Amino acid sequence: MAKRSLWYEFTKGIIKENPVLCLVLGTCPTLAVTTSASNAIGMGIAATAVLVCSNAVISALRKVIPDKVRIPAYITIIAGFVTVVQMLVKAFSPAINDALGIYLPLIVVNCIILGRAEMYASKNPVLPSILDGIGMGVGFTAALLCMGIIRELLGSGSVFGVQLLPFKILIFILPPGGFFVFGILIMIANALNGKKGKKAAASPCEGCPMANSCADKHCEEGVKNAD
Amino acid sequence: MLIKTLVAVFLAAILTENYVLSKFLGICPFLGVSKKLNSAVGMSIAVTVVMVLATAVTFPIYTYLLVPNGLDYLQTILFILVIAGLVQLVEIVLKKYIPSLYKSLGIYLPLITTNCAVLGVTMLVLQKVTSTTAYEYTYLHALINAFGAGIGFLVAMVMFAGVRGKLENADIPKSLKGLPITLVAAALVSLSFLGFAGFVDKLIPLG
Amino acid sequence: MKKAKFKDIFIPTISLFLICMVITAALAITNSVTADKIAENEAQKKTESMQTVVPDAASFEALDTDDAEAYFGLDANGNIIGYAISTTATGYGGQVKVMTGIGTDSAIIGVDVFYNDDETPGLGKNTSNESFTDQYSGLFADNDIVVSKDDTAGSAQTVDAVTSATISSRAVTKAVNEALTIYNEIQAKEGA
Repeated sequence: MAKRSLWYEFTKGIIKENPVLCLVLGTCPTLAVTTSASNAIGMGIAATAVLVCSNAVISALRKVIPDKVRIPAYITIIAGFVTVVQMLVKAFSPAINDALGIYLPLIVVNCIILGRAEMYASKNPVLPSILDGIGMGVGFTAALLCMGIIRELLGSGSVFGVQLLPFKILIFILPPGGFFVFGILIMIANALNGKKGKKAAASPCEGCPMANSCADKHCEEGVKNAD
Repeated sequence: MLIKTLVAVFLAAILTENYVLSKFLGICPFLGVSKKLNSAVGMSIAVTVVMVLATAVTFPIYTYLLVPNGLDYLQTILFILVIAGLVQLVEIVLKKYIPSLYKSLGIYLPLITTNCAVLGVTMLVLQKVTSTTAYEYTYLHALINAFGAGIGFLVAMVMFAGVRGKLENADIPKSLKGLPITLVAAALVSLSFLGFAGFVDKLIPLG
Repeated sequence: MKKAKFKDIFIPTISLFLICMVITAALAITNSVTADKIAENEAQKKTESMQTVVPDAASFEALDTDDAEAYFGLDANGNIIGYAISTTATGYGGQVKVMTGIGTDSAIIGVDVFYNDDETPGLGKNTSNESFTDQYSGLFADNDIVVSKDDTAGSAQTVDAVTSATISSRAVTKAVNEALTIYNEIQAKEGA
């Protein structure tokens, strides 16, 4: 029983609660770095590493961190891991650092990571939190890779730098192509979930961790007002 | 010359380097809070204020405290904490002294801490200091750049709120409803901003 | 009352402070481990780039200039056979860093775009392809180079822009021109 639930913690992030396509979190890197499949993998791995580490630490400290300062504490921990990952990438894989550029430090504000810290790691023991982190990370990477392959194939006619198509439709690697491909992917996810009678992807703010984790209730009001 | 460069920086931040539509920063509020014009404007003003304040604080900290001491690896952690602190501070000040403004803007403030556009702006202006060779990129340029980025955010939000207003009544397939059609619309809006590429360089040639 | 206040204010403050301390310490350690490696990577990248633009040089020596990064290319006997000058310009998405190799006869030996990762893949990024950068080889330092799409009147030295990447091509050209200016300054100083 326990084993099965651990397995569930791991797999839920990949399909059922895919952070990008179902919860619609972390949209900025999803759009920005998916101009090629290899960039997408680099971003996915970096974010997964941060997510697993921060989930583990936050879960271990969940009884120590006072409730009042938990958000700043989480942000500090996450920012710390992001910087560590950034330095390691710079030292051992400078090409990925150049390719991801500003989006590498910006993992700090990736909603997925703070969202999992607040919604999962702060309430669960270490082991499930780590598995949750890995699952969500894999789900994030898979969605990014999917975007990356589609955009690279259509936009530069190649996948992982290997030329496959004799033509290229440049618009797909430009910003509009990012929005468009992402829209179509969510449409497909919606259509698949709709067939199974599941709820379609929520509006971005419903999935936004800040909707729950904001210090006050303002946020929910804000979302309501926005609607 | 100074004014010319400032104008160039300002226009570039709004049009060619639009943080939402060409750098993909601040997408969450862009998609989430752009349904109604009022909330789009409120959110954008709050973002602009925090962007300028954050840049005003982080720029000197980075230039005069971190870099001379070889601590620039603390950039990310320090900046995000400064932004989180500033957001809280602005919230408290508004609540206490200008409650009417707090009522209209306050609800957006907690959302801004994790708005990557704010952190992105504070980091990108520092990169510009080293990459701008045609003229000296000063503190003033950085502030104007942050302000322009905020206004660019406002422009994108307002434009998009208009587009979404029209979408409300459109008859579209069920699975496209909601977020997917919003993203497709965003693609078209960002397409229009591609046309500004090179616009500022041509308009205000520098060096 | 007092006790509650202590609990409400000091415990959160102290725990937050401790977390910051630990994280900062961890960062300092990681930094001390990786800093050398990062610096080495950057230096290596630059050396490789210099080697590309002045292929005959056996070694390079940093040149003392006010605001530019320039290197002498030396042959095995220590004679100057060229200059490698690193310059930066703003392209479509961000910085474009260019290394320009210039021979002692003021002709460009080679150009290497060693950083253009902020440019669009498949478009602006193609400015680092040899088919583009080779166009600069053989042009002379005494005249500015112009992208053929721009106003070329009165300029004999032109390069063709990468298709649909005029802005990135222009940025590279701008950086090369800047390197030429620096080269001329160096020459003027040495001649004097």
